[in-house]
Amino acid sequence: MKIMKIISICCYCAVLFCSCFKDDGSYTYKDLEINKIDIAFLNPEVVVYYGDSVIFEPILTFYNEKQKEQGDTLLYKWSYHFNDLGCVCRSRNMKMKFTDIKFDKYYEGLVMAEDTTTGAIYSKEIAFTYKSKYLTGWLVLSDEGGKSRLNLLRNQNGSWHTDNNMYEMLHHKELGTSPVALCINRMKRNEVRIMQDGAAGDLILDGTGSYRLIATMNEEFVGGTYPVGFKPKNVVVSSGNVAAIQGTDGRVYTKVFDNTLGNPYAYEYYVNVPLQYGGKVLKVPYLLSIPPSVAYYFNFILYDEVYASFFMLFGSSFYESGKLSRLKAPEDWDLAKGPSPYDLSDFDMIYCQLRNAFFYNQDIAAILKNRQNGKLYLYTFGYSSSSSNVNVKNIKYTEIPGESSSLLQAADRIHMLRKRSYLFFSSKLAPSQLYCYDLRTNRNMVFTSFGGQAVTAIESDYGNDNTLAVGLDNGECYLLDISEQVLVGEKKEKIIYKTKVEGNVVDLFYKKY
Amino acid sequence: MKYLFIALILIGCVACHVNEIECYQDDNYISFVNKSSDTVVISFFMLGNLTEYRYPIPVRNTGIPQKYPMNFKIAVDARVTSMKEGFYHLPDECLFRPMSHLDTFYIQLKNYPALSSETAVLQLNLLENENFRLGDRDYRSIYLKINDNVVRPDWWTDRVERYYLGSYSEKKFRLLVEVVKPDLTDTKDAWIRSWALEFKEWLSENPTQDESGDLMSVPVKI
Repeated sequence: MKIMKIISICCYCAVLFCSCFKDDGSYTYKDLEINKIDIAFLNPEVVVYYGDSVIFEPILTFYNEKQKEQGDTLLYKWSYHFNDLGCVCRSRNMKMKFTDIKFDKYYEGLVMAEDTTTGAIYSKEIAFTYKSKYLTGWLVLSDEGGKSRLNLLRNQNGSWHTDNNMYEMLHHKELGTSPVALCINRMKRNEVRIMQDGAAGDLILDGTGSYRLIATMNEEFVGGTYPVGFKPKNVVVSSGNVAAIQGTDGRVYTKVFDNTLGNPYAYEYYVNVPLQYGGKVLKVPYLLSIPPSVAYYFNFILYDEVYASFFMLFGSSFYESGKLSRLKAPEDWDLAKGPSPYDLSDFDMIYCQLRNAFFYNQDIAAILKNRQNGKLYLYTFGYSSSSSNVNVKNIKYTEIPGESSSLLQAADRIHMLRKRSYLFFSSKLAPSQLYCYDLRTNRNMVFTSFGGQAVTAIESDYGNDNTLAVGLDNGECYLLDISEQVLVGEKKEKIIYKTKVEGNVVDLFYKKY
Repeated sequence: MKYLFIALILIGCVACHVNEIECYQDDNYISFVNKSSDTVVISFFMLGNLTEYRYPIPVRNTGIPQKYPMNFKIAVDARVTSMKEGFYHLPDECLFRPMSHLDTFYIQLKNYPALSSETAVLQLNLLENENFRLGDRDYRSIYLKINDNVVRPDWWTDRVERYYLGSYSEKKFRLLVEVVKPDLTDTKDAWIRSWALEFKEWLSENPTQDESGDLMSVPVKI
């Protein structure tokens, strides 16, 4: 028994002494970065067209000489992660086609290579953006046997393509019937508007490249329906707080929006009370706008037939948005030199266009016909808009001489370049001729002829005013070089691109964004 | 041992007996959805200057919904009611729709001149019948206060005051409703701006003094 007690005490003590044992640890470390690599890409931020694959092929730099010789990459577990998308690929090279993706969104991501032997992770930041092939180019609205067709002439990698019936191609459904006009807007929302008489109504399409239907235009009116008898022909949206919709009968309706107070453009409604002044409803044949990529501007100029006067529609601040001011010549203006925009009742308005706009400054050009002598005059003035200024400046009033005058009096389609002093037009007297009128020299020339086909639409590339698009009644479209080298220089070749869309061209517009 | 087997078989047979489940077969109870203490105020003016209004009253069935419509009874409590007879009309027959716990009946109310200066009361009580017993005590009556009064509407906010309609006054609001005849159930900004534009046009042709003697005006821009 005594021996047993001694053994027990010894064991107990041995256990106690265990705590005195010093643990020296294990210092046989494994090098985590034994298979270290650097990941690089030829282009870590790629931009691809919708429908194409996003491709990332990493280029590896090996630090381990043995691995470098063998090029062994199999010991890594690869993964590609993107914001909003999560992990999308688990192979070394990524080649993926995304369908449910937003255009122009910058998808930031990370490619990770995990060393399966050590657990070390190597990564590289990457990103991609999807761009639509159909984002920019010349939009052409055509009428094919009563059906509306939206077509696109686009330049990709230096060569021109025509996407006939693009809307149906993208969405597998008809656009509508009886097309009337096309307009684009990029203020507050990138949108393409198709105005048509058919049952499908007037459409607002997404302008960021998908051309999906956002809404019908009647839904923009409070109550969800157009005012009685209203048929839209143009929509303008200010950089400020007002948008206006013009009807074929000259009525104009406005909506005001205040982004800072949570009722932005897209969610506000047009009122059902037309623009009026002095108790009379205005009749507006010209609601002037300029493509928004040229400049930001806040207030609109319009010409009204009831008062035969120019007005400014204010939209710069929310408080005064919707306010109309009737423009007039300065107090000291000699009316013998030209009429005041306040009263043009002695004239018929043949054509009117906003040429330049820059924030609050606008240059307006018009062709007036004097009712007494029947002569045509080029009438231009500048205006610095504000909520209180009603005086225009730099009024110029020049007679358009003989032959040009008679052709312009029968003008069918007119387009004035916005940055240069040329006016292109077709005349009912010779509908297949495209004329060019030099505003500085008052000279007129036939720019080109279209072999008996009538001109139905004219528009310029407002980016640089060097390209003119002309649509014909047989569906042919021409992109014409109207640079100075062609107009006054030696360059002979005028046609940049000639194509044909289905039906006859109703309207066309350059879409830069 | 033999007896043990017999006993087990007997127990097994007992387990095969189908025990019919008793269904809940209790009565149907009817009640209003709102407590009688939650008095409802109805202003003909605030509803858009109406002369008549068909007021919806929801009712609840707290029993098992039936497959057929069941009629229920309501009655006017004459002890409390001050609304003139002939200016309200209860439905001839109230039927609770089948397979539902909720239904709505409508009472027709008519405006009369005295309501612009006084508030009339109409109390409705649910009555028991062969289909329904009365539900929760607090939900057996509904108390309607009916008038033609004007109160500043919730949507006439500072923002509306600043941008569209200007300062509120009872006279201005009454005139707006009379002139523009707005649908006051939809008070989007664009509607208010539409009303203000119409009202501004009307005021320019018909200058009107406010209670203070100043000319009535609205700040909406045109």
